[in-house]
Amino acid sequence: MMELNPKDTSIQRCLSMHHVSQKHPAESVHYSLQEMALGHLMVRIPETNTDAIKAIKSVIGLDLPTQPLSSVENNHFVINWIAPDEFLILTADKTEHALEAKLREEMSGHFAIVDVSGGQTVLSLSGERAEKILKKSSTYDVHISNFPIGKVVTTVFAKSQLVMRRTGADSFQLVVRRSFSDYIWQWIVDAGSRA
Amino acid sequence: MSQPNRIQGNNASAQSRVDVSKPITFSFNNKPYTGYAGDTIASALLANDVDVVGRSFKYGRPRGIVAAGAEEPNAILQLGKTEATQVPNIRATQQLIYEGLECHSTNGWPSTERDVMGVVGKLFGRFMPPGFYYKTFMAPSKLWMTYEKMIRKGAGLGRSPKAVDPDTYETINQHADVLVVGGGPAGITAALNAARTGARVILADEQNEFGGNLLSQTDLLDGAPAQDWIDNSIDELATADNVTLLINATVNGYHDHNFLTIHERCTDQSFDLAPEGEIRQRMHRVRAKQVILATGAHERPLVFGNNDIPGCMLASAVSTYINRYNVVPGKKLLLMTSNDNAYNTAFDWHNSGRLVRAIIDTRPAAGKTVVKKATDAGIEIIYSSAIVQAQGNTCISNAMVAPLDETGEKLSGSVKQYDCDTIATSSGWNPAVHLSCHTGGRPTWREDIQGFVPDNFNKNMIATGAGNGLYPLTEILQDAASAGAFAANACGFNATKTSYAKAAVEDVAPSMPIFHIPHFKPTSRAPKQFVDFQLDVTAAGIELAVQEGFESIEHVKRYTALGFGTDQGKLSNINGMAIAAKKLGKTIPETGTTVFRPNYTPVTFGAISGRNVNEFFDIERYSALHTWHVENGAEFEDVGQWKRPWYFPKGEESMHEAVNRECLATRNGVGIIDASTLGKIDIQGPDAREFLNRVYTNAWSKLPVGRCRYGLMCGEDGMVFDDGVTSCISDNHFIMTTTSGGAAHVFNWLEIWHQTEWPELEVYFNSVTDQWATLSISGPKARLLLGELTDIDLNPDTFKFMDLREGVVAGVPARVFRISFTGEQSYEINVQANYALAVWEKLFEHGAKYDITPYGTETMHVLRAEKGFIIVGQDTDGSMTPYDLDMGWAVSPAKEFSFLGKRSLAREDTVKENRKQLVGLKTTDAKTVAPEGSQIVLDPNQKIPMTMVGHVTSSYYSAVLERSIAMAVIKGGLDKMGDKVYMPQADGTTIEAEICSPVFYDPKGERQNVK
Amino acid sequence: MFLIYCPYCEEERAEEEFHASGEAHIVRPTDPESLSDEAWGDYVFFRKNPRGNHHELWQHTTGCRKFFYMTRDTATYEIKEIYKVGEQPKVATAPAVPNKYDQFSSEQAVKK
Repeated sequence: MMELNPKDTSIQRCLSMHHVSQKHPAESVHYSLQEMALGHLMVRIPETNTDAIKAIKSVIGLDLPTQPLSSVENNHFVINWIAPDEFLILTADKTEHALEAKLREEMSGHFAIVDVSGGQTVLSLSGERAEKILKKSSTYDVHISNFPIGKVVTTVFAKSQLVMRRTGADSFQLVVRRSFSDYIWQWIVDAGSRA
Repeated sequence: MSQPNRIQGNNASAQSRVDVSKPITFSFNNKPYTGYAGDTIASALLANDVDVVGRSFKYGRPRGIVAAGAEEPNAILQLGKTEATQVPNIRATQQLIYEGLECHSTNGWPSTERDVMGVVGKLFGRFMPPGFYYKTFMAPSKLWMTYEKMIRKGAGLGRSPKAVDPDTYETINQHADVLVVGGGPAGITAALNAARTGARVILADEQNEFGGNLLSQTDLLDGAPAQDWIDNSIDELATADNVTLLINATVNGYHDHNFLTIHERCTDQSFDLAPEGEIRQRMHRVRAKQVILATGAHERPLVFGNNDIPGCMLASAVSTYINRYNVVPGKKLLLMTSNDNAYNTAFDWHNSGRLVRAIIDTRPAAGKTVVKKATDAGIEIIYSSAIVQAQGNTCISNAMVAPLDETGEKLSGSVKQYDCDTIATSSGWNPAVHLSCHTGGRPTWREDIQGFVPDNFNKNMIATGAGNGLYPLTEILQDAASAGAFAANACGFNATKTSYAKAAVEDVAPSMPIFHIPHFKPTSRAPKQFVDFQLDVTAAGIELAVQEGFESIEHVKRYTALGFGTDQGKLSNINGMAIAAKKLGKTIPETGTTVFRPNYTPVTFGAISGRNVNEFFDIERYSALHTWHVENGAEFEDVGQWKRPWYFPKGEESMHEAVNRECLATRNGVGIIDASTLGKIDIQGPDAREFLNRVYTNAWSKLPVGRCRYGLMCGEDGMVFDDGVTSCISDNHFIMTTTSGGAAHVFNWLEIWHQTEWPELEVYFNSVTDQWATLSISGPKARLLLGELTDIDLNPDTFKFMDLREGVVAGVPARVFRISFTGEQSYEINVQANYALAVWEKLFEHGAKYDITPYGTETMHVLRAEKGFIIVGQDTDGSMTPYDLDMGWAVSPAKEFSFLGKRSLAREDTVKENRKQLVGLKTTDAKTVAPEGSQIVLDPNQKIPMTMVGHVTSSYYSAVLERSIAMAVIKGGLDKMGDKVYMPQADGTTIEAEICSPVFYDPKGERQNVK
Repeated sequence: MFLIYCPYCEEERAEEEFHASGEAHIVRPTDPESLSDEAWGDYVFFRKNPRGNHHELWQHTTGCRKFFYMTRDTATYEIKEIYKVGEQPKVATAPAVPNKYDQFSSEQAVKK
C-alpha cells in the first residue's frame, strides 16, 4: 500500500469543498460550516475475527464500537460504526498511511483497510440553526432525544446521502463523498440562509 | 354605502376577529371593495352585499357563498396580481384579504354577470342530465372536437399561470410523539393533555388562528367567553419547549405508518408575492408515533328546489359570519333545520339586529332550551314543515314552505310563500373523516348521528371530538383530554389525570334523519335540487343514474361526477349517498361508503418541489477537475448524475469541428481526458479471485500482480450489463472499474451475491470512485510527456500494455495503468483526488510543446468506435450476450465455477440462429453519417411494414479516416460481412451501407505499442 | 412512506433509505449445467406474486448497505416480521390458491 500524500508539501492540495466554499461562502451568524482536513480509513472486520478487533485497541487505544450507530473517540482518533463489519476511522490529516501500516502489522485473519481520505471529507456544522438545517435535509429524527452526542448514522440527505454524527448540543460532523460535495455544500448554505 | 352588511354599534359581535381599525382595499372582478384585517375574501364580499361570486360549472347558474371554510363549493376564485403569481381554485372562505389583493370568478363567459352558458343552462338545462355529453355528442364522432372547443369556453375552474413561479418554497422534516390534527376545542384540549406529560407535540390547524368552531359559536368555557380559554391555552402551548404550533397549516395527506404531510401557507395570507428572502409555503413531512384526529365536522345542507340561488347558505356558516366576522349576509332570514343546533343561527341573526322571518323545523318538536330562546326572542317556529323551493335569480326573493309528514318523505299540505333574502339550512353534521381514509380506512356508519366516523384499523390513530361524531361540547372536551393523555402514554409518557374546560350541558332533542326535501312535483320534474354545487349534480341526476343501472355508489359518483370537484364532495357526499340509497331501496351503509385520497385541499406544485428546483433540481456530481473544465470552456454532458466534459470548443468551433480537432490531435500527438467518473471498487480478501471468477465471464485465478484484464459482467440471463478493467494490486487486492453510470448497480450486484448467496467467501468491497482521480493521456507523444514527469521506467518492453506500476508523477504518488480505450498508446494516471488538479496542470505545462489537447466524451466515443470497442448501454441494451457482441474471447467456459450467466448462454433462445449480432457499417456515401437508432432492412423496396433486422447503435464521422463509421446490431450479422443493408429515414430517403468489421482503424492494434 | 426496522442498525428508518429487491430465499442451483432450460428458466425468470404474506429481500441502501428479509402482506402492506440473512422466517407465506388461470403455468407454457 502506498503513501498517497506527496513528500513535497508545496504541491497544491484541493480538498473536496475547496472550490464550492469559495464560490458559495458560508457566512452567517446563525451557523458555521467548515471543512476539516482529516485522514479517513474504511476498515472492514468480520464480527468473528476477534484478534483483529483486539488489534484495533492496541493500535488506536480505543475499543471498536460494537453497539450499532455508536462512535468512540480520543484525542487522535474517532471510530464510527457504519455496519456490523464496517468502521470509519478518522485520524489527523496526512497520518492515514502510517495508521494503515500499523494496523496491517497488528491485524491478522480476514479484514480490509481502504484509504479514502481523498474520496470523502468531513464538514463541521454548528450553531443555533444547525439542527434546523438537518431537519430541512433529512428524514432522520435529529432531536437530541433520538440523536444524542456520539451517535452516528448514515442516512438520506437532500437527494443524496451522508454520514452524520452529533458532537455537541448544537454541533455535528457530516461525512460527504467528494463528487457530491458541491451539491451538499450549496444545499446547506441555501437551507441555512432562512430561519 | 360601503359594507352594508357589516354589523354596527351595539349589535356588533363581541367575539369578532376582524380589526375595524385596519381597513383593507382589494378587488374582485376588477371592482374595488373595502374590508378589514382578519376578513376572508368571502366575509368581505358578504359585508359588501355581493351576491354572485361565480357561475356553475355545467349549467352556468349564478352562485353565491354557501359555507365559511374548506367545504365551500362555489366561491372558487382565481387569485393573483401578475401572470407569475396566478393561483387557480382558491376558496374565498380560506383566503384572507390583504392590501391590493386581486381576485376573479373563474367561469362565466363573457362575464360572470352575463354568462352565455347560463342562458343555455336555463333554456336547455333539462336536456343536459348526467352523461349528456356522452349521449348527445356520441355521433358523429368527428364533430366532438368542435363541440369540445365550445364547451371548454363556457366551462372550467381557473387557469394555470404561464410564467415561472417566482416564489421560494421549503420542506422540513418533523418528528413528534403526538401530532394533533385540528386546533379547535378538541385539538387544543388533546394537545394540552399530551404536552403536559413532556411528550413532543405538534398541533396544526388550517385556519389563520386556533379555535375552530369556538370562533363561530357563542359558547362559554369555564364561564367565560371561549376566546379567553383559547388565548390561555395557546399561550401555554406556545411557550412549551416540547410543542410546535402550526397555523395556516393544512394536514393534507395521511400516509403509511403515521407519515403525514402538512402544507403551511407562510405568506399567502398577507402577500401576492412573498417578500425578499421569505418563503411562500413550507411543507412539513411529519412522522408521528401517535396521531390524534380532531378534524371537526362539516354541516350538511338540505337539498330542495333551487337551493343554489345566491343566499342559500349553511346555518353554521351564517353563524360564523355573524360571530367571527361581524357580517350578516342578508336582511331577512328563513332557517330550515332538522336539529336543535341550527337554532343558534336564528338567535345570532336576531342578536345582530336583523329580522328572522321564521324557523322551519322538519321535526314535530324541538328541544326545550332552544324553544325557550326562540320564544323569548319572538321568533316564529313552524314544525313538521320544510322549504320545498327557493325563488329568485341572482338573489332570493322568497321561499315556498309546505308541511311534511312524519317520515319526511311526503308533503302533507299546501304550499305557503315566505319572503326572505337568506335561507340557512342544516341537515346535520358529517365528521371530517377524510384523513382516516388515505391509507385504506373505510369509515363506519353510525345510525345515531346519521354520519360516518373513522374506523380504527390504524392502531396508532385516535379520532376525537366532532371528527369522531361527538357533538355536545362537554363530551368533546372530556373525550379529547383522554385522547391526549392516552396518546402520550402510548409513547411511553405517564399521564395520570386529565384536565379540560367546563361547558354548559344542554337539553337537546333528537335530530331527524332527512337529507332531501320532497317537492310537490316528482324529482325529475321539480326545479333543480342541487346536491353537488361545484359540479352541478342534482337529486334528479342521481336518481337517473340509479335508474340507468348504476347501483354501486362508486359508479354513481363517476357517472354523475358527484364529489369530483376541488371540494371532494365535502357537502355533497352524504346527501348524494342518501338519495342513491333511497332510490335503491337500501340503507346508506348498505349502499357503500365513500373514501378519500390525498390531498384534503389542493396543493400548489411549488410546495411539493420545495427547494429541489433550478440548481437543486437534481444532483450534479463533479470530478476533482471540474472547475478546470469549466474555466477552459468545456461543454458538458450528463452521464448518470455526473457532469462530464463533452467537448472543448475553441473560439467559435461547432461541436463537429471541435471533435474532429480533438480526435486528430490525440491520434497524432497527445490527448488527455478526465476519466475520474468511472466506477472503481476496491476488492480485498483471500477469496477475491474466486469471487471475480464467479461474477465475470473470464478467468482471474492466474492474473499476476501488476497486471490488468478487461472483464465482461453478465446477469443470470446471460446478457451483458457492465464491463471494465480490473487490476491486480497484490495477491488478495484488486481494483475493479465499471462504467460511470453503472458503478452503484455493480457495487450492489457484488454485495447481493456476497451477502445472500456466498457469505462464506472472505472478500470485502469498498467504493473508491471518489478516492482516485484518473487522468488519461493517449497518443504517440503520450509516453514522451509522461516520461518527463515520472520516475517510473516507461520502457514499453518492460512496462507492457495492460501492466500497472506504482510511482510518482509530477511529484505526487500515483498508480499508472497502461490501458487504452482509444487504440493509441495510453497511460491512465491515478492519483489521490485532492492532488488531481496539481498533476493535471503539470501535464499541461509540460504537454504544451506536444500540443496536448483536452478531449471529452464525444471524442472518446469516436476514438473507441474506430477501434470497435463497445460501450455498455449504447451498443448493448440488456439483450446481448458476449457471443452476440462477437466477444467470445472474453468468455472462459473452462472455469470450474459456473459463473453468473454461464448457464443462460446455452439456453435454446441464446444459441439459436439469427440473433442480433454486433457488426460495423460503412455507408456507401462516405460523408453520410447514419443517425443512431436507424432501423436496418435488407430490401429497400419492400412494402410497409418492412422487416427490420436491426438498428444502428453508434455512429460518428471519423476525422482520421475521413469517412463515417458506425456500429450496429443485425440479425445474423456476423455471417453477412460484405452484404449491403439499407436504413430508411423519416424524411423518405434511404441510406445504404455495407456490413464490415467494427475495427475500422489499426486493425492489428499496432498503435498502442509504439516504441 | 413506510417505517422499516433495520435489523443491523437496530432502529426504524424511513422507507426512502431502503430498496426492495424482489422475492427472498431464491437459492442459486449448485449445478446449473445439469438443469434443463425449463428448470433454469424457472430460477432466472419466475417469481411468486402472492396476495398476502410474502417474503421479500430488502437492502438498507443509504444506511448500513446490508441486505435483510421482510415478511410483508402485499394486500395490506403490513410488515409482519424482519429477519437477517441467514435466519428463517417465522410467518408463513400466503398459501397458493388454486384458480382458473392455473392452466397457464410455466411448465405448460414452455411445453407449447
